[in-house]
Amino acid sequence: MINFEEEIKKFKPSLEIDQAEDAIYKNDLRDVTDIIEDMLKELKHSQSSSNRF
Amino acid sequence: MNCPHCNTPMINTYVCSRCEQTNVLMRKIIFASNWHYNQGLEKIKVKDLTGAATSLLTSLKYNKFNTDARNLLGLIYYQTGEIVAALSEWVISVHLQKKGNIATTYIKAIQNNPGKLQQANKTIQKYNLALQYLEQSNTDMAIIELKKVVNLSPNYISAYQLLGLLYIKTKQFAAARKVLVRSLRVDRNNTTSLRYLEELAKIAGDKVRTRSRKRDGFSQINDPNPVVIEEKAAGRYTDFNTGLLSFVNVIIGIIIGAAVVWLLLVPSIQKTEAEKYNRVVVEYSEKISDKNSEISSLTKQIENLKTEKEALQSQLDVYASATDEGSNDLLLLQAAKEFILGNQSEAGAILANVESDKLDSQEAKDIYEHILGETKEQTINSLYQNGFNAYEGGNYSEAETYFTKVLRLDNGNENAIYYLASSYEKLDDLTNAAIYYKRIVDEFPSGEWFDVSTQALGNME
Repeated sequence: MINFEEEIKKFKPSLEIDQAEDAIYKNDLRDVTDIIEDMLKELKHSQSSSNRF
Repeated sequence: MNCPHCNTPMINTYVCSRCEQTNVLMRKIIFASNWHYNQGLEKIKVKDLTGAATSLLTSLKYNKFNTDARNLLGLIYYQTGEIVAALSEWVISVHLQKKGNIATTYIKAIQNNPGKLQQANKTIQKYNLALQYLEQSNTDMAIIELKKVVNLSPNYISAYQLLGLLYIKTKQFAAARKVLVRSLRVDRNNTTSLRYLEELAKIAGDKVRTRSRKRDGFSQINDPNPVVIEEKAAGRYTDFNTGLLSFVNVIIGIIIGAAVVWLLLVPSIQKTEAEKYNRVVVEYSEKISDKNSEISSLTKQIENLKTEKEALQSQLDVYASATDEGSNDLLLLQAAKEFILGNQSEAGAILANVESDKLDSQEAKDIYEHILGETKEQTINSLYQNGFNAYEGGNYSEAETYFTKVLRLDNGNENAIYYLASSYEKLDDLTNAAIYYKRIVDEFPSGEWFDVSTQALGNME
């Protein structure tokens, strides 16, 4: 059975033309490569900090 | 990501441009991105836009520089009415790859058609307004706005789905089915639309099916040209003449059409005809009025002309009598001239033409009497002989002239009176003939022509 209130809440307002700029800036462009890079940086950082000790 | 060997940045490639070493991890990432892009492409070919969008988003999660995937995702958004989302993808695509990017063309196409962009924005505003109405629990107004949205943008999937959901909520199941099926025509495997349809089938499907069976009592077998309808309840079949039914329907349609024409068109046509007729009547009345006034004017002119003619005629008579008198005097002068010259017979002949009673002066009368006294006998004989010759020759008109002249000189000439009467009779002038015959009877009872004249008079009566 459909819960109409819940279903209606799933529908979000569409972006209007004057909101396009915000939408572009807020777009999450991180991909797998960025995540791996972050992970590698973090790994290097942890390795260098463990070497100090 | 940078090359693990020479630390050179590697963008959208797994082979280092500097050391030419292959980065295995990068290759796997790019291959995975391309695989999902291909999946998206395949799904689009079968109109599975939602599935395609999911695959393309996954592709971009692997490799954000996959320009083809991003551009295609923008096209899907554009197709489903999400123009701002489409523009966002294309702008990012152009930002990440400036050269040789077809997204530039898409953006320019939208920028060059500001009217369409404005209309799309209005559609989005109406959709958002419908959502606001729903927040205020105003379902009817939301349905009205969503109807406008799907009319303006027939591919707006979210609007179809929301409208379908609201129709289900308000128990308008047929309408809900209609809009949801329409949304599936645009996006075949949209999970939301399919889920709503499934729910709709659970809620209303059985009811609709049962009702239609009860109402119809028959169910049509799967034949493209059905002539036999199977009656399921009784397990029998009945011949049903669809051709006859169609013909009856056509006849009913023609009758209804004729009735509509008669009720709506005929009165207006009659009114127009009546107005036209009235106009013609008015025109002819004006013409008749003009003609009547013209006739009265012409009648007046005729009366004036008659009066004028009578006046002129009387003047003419006066002039004519004056002319006669003048010619009488002239004839007398000619006769006098011939008499002086010694031509007595000629003078007498001219004198016979003179009417003595129209001579004015006493002197003229004296001259007339004198010449007449000298030439009378000779002239009368000459005129009588000429008249007799004309009478014998059958020239009664000439004879009448001569005998009249004879009587002017000798009014009691019995023979001349008789022949003049006979000439008139021959000329069918019976009135004058009777006058002169009567003179014979009255004045000469013992004369030569008495019996003949009496008989002639008796014949005339």
